[in-house]
Amino acid sequence: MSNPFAGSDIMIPEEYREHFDSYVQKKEGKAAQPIHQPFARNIDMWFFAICLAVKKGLKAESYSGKTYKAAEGVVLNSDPWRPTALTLLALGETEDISIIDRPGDMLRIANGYALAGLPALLTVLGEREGDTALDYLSETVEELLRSKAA
Amino acid sequence: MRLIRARFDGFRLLHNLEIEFSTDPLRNITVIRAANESGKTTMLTALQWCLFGEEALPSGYTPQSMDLKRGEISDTVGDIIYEVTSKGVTKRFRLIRSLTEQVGAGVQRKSTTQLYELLPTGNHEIPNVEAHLAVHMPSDLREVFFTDGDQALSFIQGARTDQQRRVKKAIEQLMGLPMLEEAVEHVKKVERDVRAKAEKSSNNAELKQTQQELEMLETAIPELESRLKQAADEISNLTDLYGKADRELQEALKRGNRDEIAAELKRIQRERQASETRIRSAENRQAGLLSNNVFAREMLGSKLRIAGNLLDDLRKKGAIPNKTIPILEDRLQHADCICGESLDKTDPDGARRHRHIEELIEESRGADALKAKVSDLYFEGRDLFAAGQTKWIADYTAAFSDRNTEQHTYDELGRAEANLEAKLDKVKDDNVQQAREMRDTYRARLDEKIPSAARLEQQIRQHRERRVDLERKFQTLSAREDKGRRFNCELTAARDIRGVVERALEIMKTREVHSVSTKMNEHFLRMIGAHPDNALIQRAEITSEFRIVVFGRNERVLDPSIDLNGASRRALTIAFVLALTEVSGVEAPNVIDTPLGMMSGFVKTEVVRVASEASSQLILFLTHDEINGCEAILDARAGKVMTITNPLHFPIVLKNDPGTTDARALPCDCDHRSVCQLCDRIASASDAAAMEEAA
Amino acid sequence: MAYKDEKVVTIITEQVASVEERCAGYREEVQIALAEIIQAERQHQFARTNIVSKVGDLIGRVGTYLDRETATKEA
Repeated sequence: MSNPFAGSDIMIPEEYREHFDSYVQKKEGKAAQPIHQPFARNIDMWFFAICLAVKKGLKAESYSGKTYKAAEGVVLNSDPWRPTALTLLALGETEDISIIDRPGDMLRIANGYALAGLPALLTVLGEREGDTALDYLSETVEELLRSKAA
Repeated sequence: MRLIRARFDGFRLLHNLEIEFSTDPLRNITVIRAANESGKTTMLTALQWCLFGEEALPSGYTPQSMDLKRGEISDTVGDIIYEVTSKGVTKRFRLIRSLTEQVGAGVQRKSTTQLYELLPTGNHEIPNVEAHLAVHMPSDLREVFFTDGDQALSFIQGARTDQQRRVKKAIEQLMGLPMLEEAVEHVKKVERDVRAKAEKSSNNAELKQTQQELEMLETAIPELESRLKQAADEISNLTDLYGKADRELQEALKRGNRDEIAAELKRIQRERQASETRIRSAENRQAGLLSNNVFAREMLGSKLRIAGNLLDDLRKKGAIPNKTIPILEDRLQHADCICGESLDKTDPDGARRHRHIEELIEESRGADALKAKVSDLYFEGRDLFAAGQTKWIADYTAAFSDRNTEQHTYDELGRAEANLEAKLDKVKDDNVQQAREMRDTYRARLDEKIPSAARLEQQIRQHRERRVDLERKFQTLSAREDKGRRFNCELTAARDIRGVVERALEIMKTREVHSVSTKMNEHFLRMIGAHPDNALIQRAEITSEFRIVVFGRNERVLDPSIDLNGASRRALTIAFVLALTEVSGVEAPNVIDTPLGMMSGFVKTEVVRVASEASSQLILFLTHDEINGCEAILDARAGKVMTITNPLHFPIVLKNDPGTTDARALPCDCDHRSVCQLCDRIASASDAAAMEEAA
Repeated sequence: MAYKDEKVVTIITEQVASVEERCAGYREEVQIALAEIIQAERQHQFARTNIVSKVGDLIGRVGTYLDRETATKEA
């Protein structure tokens, strides 16, 4: 399946830009510190936010303020399962098979979850105290996965 | 020689102070009890000054009274009564030494002496005082009989050659060896004179030549002997230095070879870096878990399952083609279907089935883009929405555990690195290489000096042999002449006499020194309570090079200055002095200032006991602390005890106000067990503890 | 005297015993001479004397004795 989001852009509210800068690895190689910046690229953090929102049962949100381009949809090509997952998410959300033909709508749904998930993600990161970002996030995910084992 | 009584006036803080000494042979100890800074050392010095004069004073020391002011006149008097027994006859003498000086005058004057023999008929003045004193109490022996506990330690401490010199000197002086050595020289001189006379009165050229050669040898031999002595000293010193350098090398080796440690450090550093890299990749692995498909599958699970169910429904409804067009087409080529039924067109059923498959193919081909998409989605998304095992937590646990393990390894390597760096630092200044070089240098120098000394020895031996031959030759030649006979007899007599003295000298040096060594060992072992079977210290000995050495178990040589504690060291020096006194047979008082410092009750008692037995008259200056623990032996052996007190010790040490602030030593008759108004002290914590221990 | 010269004298006497008896009474002469030599040496330690001359005289005495006794024998 080709990437239906290849032509689109991932737009994020401006207020999240500095947080993306904090938690996404900008430096390569040895200088990269995964324990403080658990996400390799902006798209990974965005995707994590989506997963967090869905797992926590948050409602997708919309945003009308200033945004910036955090990533290009084509970047999803590097993990072929991702476009599939986002498509399935949209399908699961709408229960309407025709949605798979409308990439714009699918992206909107995905982004909606991202917008719901980002505050939650930042809250988690904010309360990590002495823990590293990586470890606290991992623990949080573990807890989430254990609690709703279904 | 025995001390009877002494009185000092105007000698520093001794004013009209009298001491009576015990002359009871069974209770031969005299104790002067005094705290530190009360005048003990002053009394010791005063005694020596009186007997030996200014040479007995430390340099710059003035005996002037301490209370006088600049410009005032100081009168110092020492007055000693003593006895000397010679060939069964005992004579009593009184020696008075006086010094009158102006305080701060700068020029030090010499004291004057008066000596009287005390006879029943009256006092008889003796004119040549110094000569008599030299006989009664030779100044050579001063350091042996007047012992300052600390200063005596130089017999066993300090530079090796200095120790040897002091021990040798003490032994020689007490044995009278210098006298014998001089006697040998005098006899030799007589021999030379006789030969010279013989040669003069002879016309024999060969005789003259022999005489000349003998003269040359007489000069050469002492010179070689002196060089040999120097070489021996150097060898002794080098041996010491070599020993020290070797010890340092062993220490350095123990600390480790610098290069080895540096290499190990590098290795650990590399390993730590590799570990760091592995930690990073473990972190990356764990971080990757937050972005992988397993994560997404389990987090988005609910929505994905809804989608999956939908797709499944569609598939069941047939809306999702089986993607088997190629298979169907392939089947059409064959006579039968996959299910086994015939597809033969000639057969009506087969034709029907064939048509069905064709229709299916048409339907499939006609599927619209959506269906294709849906179909792709179904197949590609199956991994995401199909029910399956949850494994994210397991993956996370594994990744986290690996990270921890690697971190642990990293920390250990970090610790190892720090350790090695510290080790390297310590080794920084102590290069094993350097230490080895140092030691080898000394070894090389020893290897040079030892053969060179051996050569000197051989030369001396050869010269001596030559001399004996020449002497014989001389006598043989001169015997042929009439006058020569007479000279020959004299030479024979001289040779015989010289031989006796030389042999006696040799015996004194070996046998007698051996006796001193044996006695010293006896005394020493008794003093420290060493049991021959299990003691750490087995014996003490004076070597043929006049070194006092101590042996531990298994004949291991111990260095007294390092391997013995303070108490044992003092005991050893006292044992030496006593042994020397006994073996030499010289009768003189042993006067010792604070010998018992640092000793336990047992050792103290034994030292006092042994000293009392070995000495003809033992005079001890002791502090209260020293007396603690050996009161019993003093009860038994002290014939006279007195106490002196420093009034300036009130109120810190003394209980009662002595009524004066003069700088003077105040005597009282209190013995080692009693106190009076004057000498009573405030019990210090150590006193109290010591009293408890004694009780 | 502070010195007990007996010790030295004892040892000297021991050693005289190993001197060759070159003629009758020779050893005794040597013994006597030695005792006086030791005495002279001791005195010399405390008050300088012309010791070599004294020792020379004592040795001379022994030498003369030896000469006389051996010459007599030969004669």
